[in-house]
Amino acid sequence: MLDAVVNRPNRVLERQKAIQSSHLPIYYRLPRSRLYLGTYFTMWTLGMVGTTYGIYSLAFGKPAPKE
Amino acid sequence: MTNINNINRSDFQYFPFHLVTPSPWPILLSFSLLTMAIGAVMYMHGYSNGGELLSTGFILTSFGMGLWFRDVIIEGTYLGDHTRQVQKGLQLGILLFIVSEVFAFLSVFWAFFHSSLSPAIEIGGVWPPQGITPLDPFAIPLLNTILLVSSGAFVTYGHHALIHGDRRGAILGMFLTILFAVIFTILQYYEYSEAAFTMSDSVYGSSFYASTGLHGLHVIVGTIFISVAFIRLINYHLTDTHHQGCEAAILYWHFVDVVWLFLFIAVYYWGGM
Repeated sequence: MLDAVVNRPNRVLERQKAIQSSHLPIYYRLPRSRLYLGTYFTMWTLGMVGTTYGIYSLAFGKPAPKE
Repeated sequence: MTNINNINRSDFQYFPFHLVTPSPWPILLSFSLLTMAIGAVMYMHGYSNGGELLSTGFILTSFGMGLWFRDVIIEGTYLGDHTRQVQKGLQLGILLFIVSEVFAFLSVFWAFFHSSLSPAIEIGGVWPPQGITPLDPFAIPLLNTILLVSSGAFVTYGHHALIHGDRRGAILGMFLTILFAVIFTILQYYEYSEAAFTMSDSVYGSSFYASTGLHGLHVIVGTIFISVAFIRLINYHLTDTHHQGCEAAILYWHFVDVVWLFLFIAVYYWGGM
């Protein structure tokens, strides 16, 4: 099992060529970047809506009564 | 004619520094931390949906850190931005980070010794407090000590193998380090679930879980750190002369190791007698 890991093909050179010839921003240069960043931006936007709601609740809302 | 779109940095850059390109991560992660902080305040004060916002903030922060570190790996491995001079800066950054961690643990140890060296009358004037049954230091804690010290030895073996160009040895060393770290975390979880006291059982419970819990959190982060180095090693990202991220992970792991030795001697052995 260890042999398969030790002797796996080295793809660094071809990756270096692909990434160095790309003119996209760094965070879009690897494969599947759009998927990862799209997911992140969507979640981040939801988080911002939640944060705005949270700040409003803290300023004007009421916490649960203490038992 | 020179194609301006295919610039080779070393053809015209006469300094060894890395001028970073614009990145969205600082601002996005700052707001993710804000989400986490607001969520934590809401959760702790009993506002509705506080837990959900806290979880969202945590996921956003860790996911964002992953994407940011991914960019750093691209810059180091594929773009050649991490020159010797840049590596020195990164090394200094890691050292300063570990110094700040030392002080974080110092404050937890301070709290422990403050409470244990002159036990208050409310806990019976003794340490461990009356009614507390401490854990046997020579059961799971001793086994955990052996596991962590061995993992420290394996990581050093892996590091030396990497420096000497022995790919097989480096992979084996790193793998065994991760394996022992995972076993440590499982045993620590088992010990927590079997302990006769909780975090709310006097200052003993509070200081015990605060110190060992903070350490446990560092073990988990260190395991992720070493796992990233391991995956990069398998993918030929690391060479015998250029493996700054791996060295940072190793340094962090040794730090976690040393903190455990202090914890074992002070909290488990001396504090449990």
